[in-house]
Amino acid sequence: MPRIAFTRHLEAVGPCEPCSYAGATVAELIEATARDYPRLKGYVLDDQGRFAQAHRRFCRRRHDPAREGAWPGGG
Amino acid sequence: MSDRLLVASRKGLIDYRRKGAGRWEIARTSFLGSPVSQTLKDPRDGTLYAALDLGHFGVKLHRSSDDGATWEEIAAPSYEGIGEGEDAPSLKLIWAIETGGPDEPGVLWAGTIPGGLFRSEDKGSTWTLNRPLWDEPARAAWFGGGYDKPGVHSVCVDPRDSKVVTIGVSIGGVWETRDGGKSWAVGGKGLWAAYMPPGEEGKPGNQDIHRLVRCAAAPDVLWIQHHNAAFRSAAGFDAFKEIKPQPSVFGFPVACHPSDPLTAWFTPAVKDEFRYPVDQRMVVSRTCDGGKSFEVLREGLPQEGSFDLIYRHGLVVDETGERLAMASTTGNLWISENGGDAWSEISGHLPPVYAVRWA
Repeated sequence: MPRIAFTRHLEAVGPCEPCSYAGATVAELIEATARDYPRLKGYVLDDQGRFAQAHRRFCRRRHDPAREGAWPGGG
Repeated sequence: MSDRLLVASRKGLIDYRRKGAGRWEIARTSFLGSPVSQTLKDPRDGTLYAALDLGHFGVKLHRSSDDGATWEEIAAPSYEGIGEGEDAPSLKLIWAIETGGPDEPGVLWAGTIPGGLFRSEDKGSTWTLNRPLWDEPARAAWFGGGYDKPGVHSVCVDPRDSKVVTIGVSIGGVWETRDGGKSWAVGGKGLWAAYMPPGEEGKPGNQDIHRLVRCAAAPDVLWIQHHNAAFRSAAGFDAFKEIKPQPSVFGFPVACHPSDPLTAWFTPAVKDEFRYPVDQRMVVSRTCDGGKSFEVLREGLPQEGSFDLIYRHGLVVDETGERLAMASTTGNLWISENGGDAWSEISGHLPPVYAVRWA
């Protein structure tokens, strides 16, 4: 299950340490997180559900040695 | 007479209390470090409101039911579901918060950038975009002045009839509803726009209203500080005559006496993009005869090297007409307790100030 964390600037409204939530996309992860942190979406998305241009999202994929030979070519 | 002043600044909401003649002290600073764009104390029930502009983290609205000791974040007006695609609007700024009439407990109006007017029936817990204004075809011609998008910065509820609301838009003119927002008409006859090409100067939607205020005791009297002039109407929102504050007709705020329809105050500046006091001498321009003549008031104000600019919500008069407060983008705060004849500097080191409100 993916884990998500937010900048410490948002510690009043969301988790700053990685937490596990279900979601196949960043948007789904935020929705899932927001169920526990109801103020969160208003701080990372605008009222149309868009990220602010200045926001950055960093995605890391955990390396799985068992799949090394089949590592996908894309990011 | 008001003994409490709320100062909405770049670094928080500062709550000043009067301690004696010319002596005011900070009682509390809320949201320390955060930009507060607007504030309000609802005289009907004492609730305080503070609008925050947190930049990348969005626009927020907070409410206090214990006189500012604690705050709760409430819903901000939202454009969710309005428009489509990448150009769909989103809230950029809460520029005005005003109460409904005394017969409308819990009703608030919020003017915003990018140009929507919102109404709450429950003290800001929920908001509804006024669609008749938003869907008005002429609104498509509104455009941004200092900001990229137009905005509603002045909301004047007629004290005789809460269904009559007059708003000022930059840049979009003067609009009024007489049925509580179900329909709107554009006014502003007599206004003119120096920055428009020939033939466009007089069009109502092209008018850059910097600030619109209404005389409480004579509600047909409206005053405007416009981008290139000042105006007064004694007959409602569609009958303005140009007046000439001295030493400059450019500025942002206007404050009008609550019971004397002939008296108002302006803060002149060098025009357009420069925006500093004429000759760097800070003054207030007051008329007591409906704009026929103006006095230049300077006692207690810096008379050399001043860079002070007063934003459109940075000048306010209290319910007696005697006490005024004025604060600048350079962080100076002054209060006059005699109608502007003399000013006391209350602070010379605040952050840039966006709005001041008597509370």
